[in-house]
Amino acid sequence: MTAASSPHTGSSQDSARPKRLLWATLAALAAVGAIAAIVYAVVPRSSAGQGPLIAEIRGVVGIAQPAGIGQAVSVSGPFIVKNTGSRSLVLDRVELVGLQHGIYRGAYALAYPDPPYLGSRLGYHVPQGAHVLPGVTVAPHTEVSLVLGLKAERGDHTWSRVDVVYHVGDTTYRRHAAFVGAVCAPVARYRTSCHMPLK
Amino acid sequence: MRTSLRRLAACVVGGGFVVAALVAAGSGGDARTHAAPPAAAGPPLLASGVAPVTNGIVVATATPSLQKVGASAPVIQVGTAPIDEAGNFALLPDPTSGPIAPLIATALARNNGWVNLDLLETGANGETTIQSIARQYVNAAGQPVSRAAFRAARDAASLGTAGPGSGAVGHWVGEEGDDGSTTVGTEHAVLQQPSPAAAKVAATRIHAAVVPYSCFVISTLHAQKNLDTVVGEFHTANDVVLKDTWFRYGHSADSSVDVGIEISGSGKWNVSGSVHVGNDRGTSVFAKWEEGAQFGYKLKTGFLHKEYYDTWSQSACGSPYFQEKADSWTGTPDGTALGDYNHNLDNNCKNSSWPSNWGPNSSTGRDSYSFTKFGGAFSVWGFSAGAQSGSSVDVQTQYQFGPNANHYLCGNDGSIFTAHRVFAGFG
Repeated sequence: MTAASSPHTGSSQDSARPKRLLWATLAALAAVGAIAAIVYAVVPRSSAGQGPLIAEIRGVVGIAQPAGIGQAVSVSGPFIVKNTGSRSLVLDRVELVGLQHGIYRGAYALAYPDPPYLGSRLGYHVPQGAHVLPGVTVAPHTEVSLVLGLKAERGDHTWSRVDVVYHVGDTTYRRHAAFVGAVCAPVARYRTSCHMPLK
Repeated sequence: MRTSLRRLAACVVGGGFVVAALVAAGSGGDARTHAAPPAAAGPPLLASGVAPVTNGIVVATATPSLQKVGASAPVIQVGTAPIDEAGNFALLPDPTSGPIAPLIATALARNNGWVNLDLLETGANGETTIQSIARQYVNAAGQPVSRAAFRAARDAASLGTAGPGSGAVGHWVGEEGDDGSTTVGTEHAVLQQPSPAAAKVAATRIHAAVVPYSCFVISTLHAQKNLDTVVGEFHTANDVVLKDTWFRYGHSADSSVDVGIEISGSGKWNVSGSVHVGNDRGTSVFAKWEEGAQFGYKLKTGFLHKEYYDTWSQSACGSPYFQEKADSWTGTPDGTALGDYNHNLDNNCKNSSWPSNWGPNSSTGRDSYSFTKFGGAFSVWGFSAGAQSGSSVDVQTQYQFGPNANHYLCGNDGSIFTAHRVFAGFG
């Protein structure tokens, strides 16, 4: 509707238009608020940095483990992370950047330095006393070692970094660890040629 | 009225979208937030800390490039700063102008960005000390500043188009600690003992308003020699695959080597700090030790060492002295050589607090090692001193294990991913 098409509209219509505009505005605002609320609820909140969890790694470290096709392997090093903050944090998940989907099976945390001092091994079994991610709480100024479970698929499969996703209170962080690696299958093909992507 | 309502509506809706956008932006799932550090307000800090002397002055100098024995030139003065009553000082020369700029350019071209300096510190009591430090000029990502970026910054500075601090395309990192701090360490040598006569000379230096001072050092290349120098160690136990189990150094050198000082006639060497050797011998040049089972040695490769005879511009300024400095990695006389045997430290991971157990056919590796500092890394002209290697990707180790079920490595002071030394074998 335009002014040209209704030249004789009365004053009642003049007063109704601003009201309609206001209602439309309020409706639009409500819609925007709802969208914002959904985004806030669905997407994890992140801080401006990697947060208080640090990886106890100097430079870049790497691991490679060949195994039979479909066989599980455990890799660690040990891969030690430390909560340097003054509040407890909760480990949510581990992501191996660049690794083909379906190879990562899970991760668990062990107190450090406690046995079994795992570098890498065939098989993935959560030992007694270990804590499976997600939901592992790390107290302030405490270290844990993380063991990652993988399934060897045919070929060589590498990752270029390990990210540890965790949260402190309502804030989610992502710690990047310079931890590269490879898992390869079958053993006969990759016995000495399963190469970690160190430079 | 209508216009006002429309404006109000526009503001409300627009504001709502802004709120939504901010909420969404703040909820990003990953840490894509490696923001560059805020621009510095002035030149980057080259060195600071507590000097061994008080109420005086510190002069940062660099040894001139001398190639032939007998050649001489004044040392290059790159900056000065006062030392307060507690010994505190801070050196902040502008990297893009003055005598330090060509030193940085040379360092970026030939030494992986490492600039080697001597801090001559003179106190009000006349005592003069020397601290040898190394600083790397790096960008926000911690990598050596590119030569092109530095050239552009120098050009902008010379044209006067650079604002305050804008010439600082990089910042300095030191190597006295593990954290890259530019705070100087405590290592130093005394060049001049305190005395009333020395204090009188020092007073003119401390209160001089211009550079160069009446007291400055002239370096003469007295001798030079290639000799093998320790750059690390390597240890294995049983069941390793020889061709894939190695220690590799290069293609750029990466070693911090002690600097020696001998007051002429004293017959006694002291360590005044270190230089960093980071020259690149070409992308295909490595010193690589491929080793089999049950191996444990320090590893050596050839470096050029230079001895300088340093005299003062006036005899009243101080006594002449000799300096011994590693100059560059040459691979001469040996590309790879073995140093001391130390396999006796292996096959004992059962008693380590930091063991790790590796499965069949697995492998592990690490770069950017920060190895332990080895004393007795070299010995020349009566000076025997230490060296430490490995803060970059140019020092790597790799272990390829064989088919046995278990293989053990262990760190000396932490897990094998952080330890300064890594041994092998359970025992």
